[in-house]
Amino acid sequence: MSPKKTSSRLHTLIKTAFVAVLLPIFFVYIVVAKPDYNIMNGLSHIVFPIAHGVGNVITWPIRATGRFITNIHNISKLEQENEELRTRLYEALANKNECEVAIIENQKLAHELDVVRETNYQSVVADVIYNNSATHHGTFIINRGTNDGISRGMVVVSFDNTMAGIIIDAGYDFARVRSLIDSDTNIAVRVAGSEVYGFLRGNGSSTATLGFLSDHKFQVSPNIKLVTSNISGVLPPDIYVGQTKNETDVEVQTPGHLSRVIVLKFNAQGKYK
Amino acid sequence: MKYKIVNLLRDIFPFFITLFLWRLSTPYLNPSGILAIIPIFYYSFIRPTPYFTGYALLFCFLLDYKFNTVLTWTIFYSIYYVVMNIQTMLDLTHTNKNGLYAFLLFAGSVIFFIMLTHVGWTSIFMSFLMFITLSVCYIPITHIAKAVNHD
Repeated sequence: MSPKKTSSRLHTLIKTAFVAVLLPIFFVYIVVAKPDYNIMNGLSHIVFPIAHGVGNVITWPIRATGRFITNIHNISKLEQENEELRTRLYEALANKNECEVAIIENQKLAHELDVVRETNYQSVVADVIYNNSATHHGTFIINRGTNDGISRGMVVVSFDNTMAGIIIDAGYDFARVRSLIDSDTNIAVRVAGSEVYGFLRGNGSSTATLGFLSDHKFQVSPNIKLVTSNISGVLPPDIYVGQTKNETDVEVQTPGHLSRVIVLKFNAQGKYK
Repeated sequence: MKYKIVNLLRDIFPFFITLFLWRLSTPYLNPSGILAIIPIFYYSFIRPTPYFTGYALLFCFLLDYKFNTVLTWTIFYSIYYVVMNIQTMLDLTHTNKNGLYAFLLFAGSVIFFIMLTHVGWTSIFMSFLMFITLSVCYIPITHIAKAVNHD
């Protein structure tokens, strides 16, 4: 065996030994660091922006071409979309007066019942840069992070004010959001207009699953609207989540339909900032 | 000079293609940049490239970050790396079809493990789709790699 071959084999063995040492470290880390994985997330806060930045440069021609094709496709649909939007605008205007009256009535009742609800919250608009839907996971990454005051646990809503997910990790200029369809999602919800509570669980499909209702006699029918509940003190209350499709399935926002979102800033007690 | 540049481009190609495929992630076709696992596997086991192991580990970690699967790809990659380098029975550098079957075993076992963490029809379907996508894309991507490297 030549010295060069021996040296190469030795080099491979050293590398293998190094990787072999990493394995028990990984296993111990997974057991110990659960559920926050601070070191792992901290490392990704350094590595991810670099990879993303360099990746942006080298994939620019492909992405620019893709955007161009999408824009051409969108232009062809504009006229039809305009018609639809006009119809929706007229419908919205028709409901406006009714809503204004309801808001005033609600304020009056809240004042009479001495309910103080702080709704003057701050929000941050962010673009979705990655849709990571894969197998039963449904996370997405937005282009705003701790630099804009975003932190773990904040709620992300779409522009029609429907809940889209929860921030699970925030880097300097990006944040990872777990959508409602992710299998790790399990949030407390309330049936709008009642005191029936339940839990909404993601399963990787385009709908989430409603279960564990507080009132067993309550019959779930289609088109029942659900809002968030602060029953566990994790989420702020009364954010629209979605509506039921049948007894268990709930139509919710999916990452595929989101290009721009709003992050609501609130603290751990569930009060908006 | 010209050859130096060409050789340099050839040397950085494994790193380039991995990052390229990771960045171009799109649901269904390339979820979370999963296609990056093809050059990671190819340049680690089939055509070992200098300084690629650390880079491969890093991108397995980035895949895990996007997938939200805590170190799963990284750990499986490490296990395969250790097993392949310790044993002397199998030489993946001289296998047919650029090591397609070894790759399918590797990718299949990881996808199956991820699927097992949440069994459901959607999960099974998406995992199957991902496996099919990887199987179909493996040969073209490795052929490009071979052509670039003049193998």
